Amino acid sequence: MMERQAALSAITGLGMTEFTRDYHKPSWQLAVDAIGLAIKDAGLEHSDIDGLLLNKSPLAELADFPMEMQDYAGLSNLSLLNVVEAEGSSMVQTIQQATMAIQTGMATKVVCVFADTPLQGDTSAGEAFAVAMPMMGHLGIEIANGFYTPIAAYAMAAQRYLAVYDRTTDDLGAVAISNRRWAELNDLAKLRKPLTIEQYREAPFLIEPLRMLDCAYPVNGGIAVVVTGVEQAKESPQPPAYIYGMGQGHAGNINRRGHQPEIETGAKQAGEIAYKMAGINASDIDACQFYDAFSISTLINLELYGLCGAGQAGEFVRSGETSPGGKLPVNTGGGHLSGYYLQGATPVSEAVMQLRNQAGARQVSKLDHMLVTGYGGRMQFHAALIMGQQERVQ
Amino acid sequence: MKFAEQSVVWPEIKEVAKPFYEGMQQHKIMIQQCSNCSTHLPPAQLVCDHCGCDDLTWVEADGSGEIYTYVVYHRSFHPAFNDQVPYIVALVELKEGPRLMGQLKLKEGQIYKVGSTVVTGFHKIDKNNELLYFQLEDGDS
Ligand SMILES: [Zn+2]
Repeated sequence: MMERQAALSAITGLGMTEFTRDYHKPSWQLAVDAIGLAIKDAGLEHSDIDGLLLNKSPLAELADFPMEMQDYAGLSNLSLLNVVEAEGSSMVQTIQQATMAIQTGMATKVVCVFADTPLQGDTSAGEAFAVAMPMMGHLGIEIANGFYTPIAAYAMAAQRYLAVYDRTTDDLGAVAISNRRWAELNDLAKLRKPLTIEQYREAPFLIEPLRMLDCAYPVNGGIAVVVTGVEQAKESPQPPAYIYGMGQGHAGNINRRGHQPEIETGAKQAGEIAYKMAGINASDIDACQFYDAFSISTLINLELYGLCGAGQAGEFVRSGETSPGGKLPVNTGGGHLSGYYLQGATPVSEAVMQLRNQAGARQVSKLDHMLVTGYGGRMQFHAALIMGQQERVQ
Repeated sequence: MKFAEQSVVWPEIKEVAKPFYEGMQQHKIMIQQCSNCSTHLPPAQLVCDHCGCDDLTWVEADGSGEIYTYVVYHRSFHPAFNDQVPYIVALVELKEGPRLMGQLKLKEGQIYKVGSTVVTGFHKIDKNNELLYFQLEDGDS
């Protein structure tokens, strides 16, 4: 057995605004609200905070989520301040950077925040994300082919996955159903009506092989966390959510024979580095909070993070192992598909609620090692955390 | 982001990609080849991902290949494509190795899947520009 490690840091504060489908205020204001809630939740004052890491939506302008957030949130004398831009892996990366800063002494109490308002009254969810999806690098030929929305890039990955492993869209449906079963137990989740495989099959394709039920459910909202050192965390009024291991993987977008960037992603590398840092193996993972903007990514991530054999994730999910009562609970708040899509902040928020044993009807009983991940782009940027409830890895 | 702001369906062509677009107007598929390791690269690169060499030359591809993956748009996400729905966008692995994106144009009743052999065709999409597409090999164009 590998040597189990002491925690590197802990999340001691969680702040969440209301998550809404209508537009109330701009994202910077939601961020300020979430920051204030997180600081209060951590039992700290604004003056205690010495680090601020900003996770802006890749679709938002920098001007909408600027460095001046420091001033909007009333935070002065920061010794760490940055906008972390790594697309959907950003929120996990902010927590990684906060941990590194705490480990080196650059900062001691760091707020990481995400907020977004994709729904702005006159903009539908489909429209908000209906940008041309870059897959071909400098060539830029996507736009001329009508290759719009991120859904399309994930549909490309899904079709490749289904063809390589000879699977059907029922595997994707199994993920949507597993998420929905968790959402039924979560008051924060947006889509809570039971979903059957028959209902899934009857739903029309949006961009085949993906249906609307395979796509994230966007909301407006903000989420912030406070990250501190392990000693500081002992003074926290909330049970600390410890971080034992961290990893990233960016395998590149190589569109030629011998490479399959759609289904062989940097998740594998991110997981291996994070497991090693924590002193555990994939088989030690008790639960996962994956970034799951599309159903296909849960199948691929289960396999690349070493939790299922290649092509076997669909069967694993269908057998109920990721659902309530299963042996590897996955996306226990309903995830992006049925819960709420606030990019990388969604899995982080659910991880903290679970690790505090504050998840109510959906609480998972054994949480020695939880895998929490983010990915961005067309699944080419990955970041992972190994988290748990004890100061030392169990 | 509003649709009206992105009514252009022809990309702003970057300098590094110009040989590809110029080739397309002459019904040629131009790809790149590393002068050090001879790897064929998908356009448009500055550095070979295999060996790191930055001396790349443009060469004409045969234009045939296999469907690597594809999607079918059952809904339009841009007004310029409303009357094309349903349409297929494929990633095709060319004989030389690089993958290219293009629409797959079918004749009535044609069956296709990942692995099907395709060849390249070209069609005028506005008064200035020819765009590549793919069709099944057995289709007579
Ligand atoms: Zn080379």
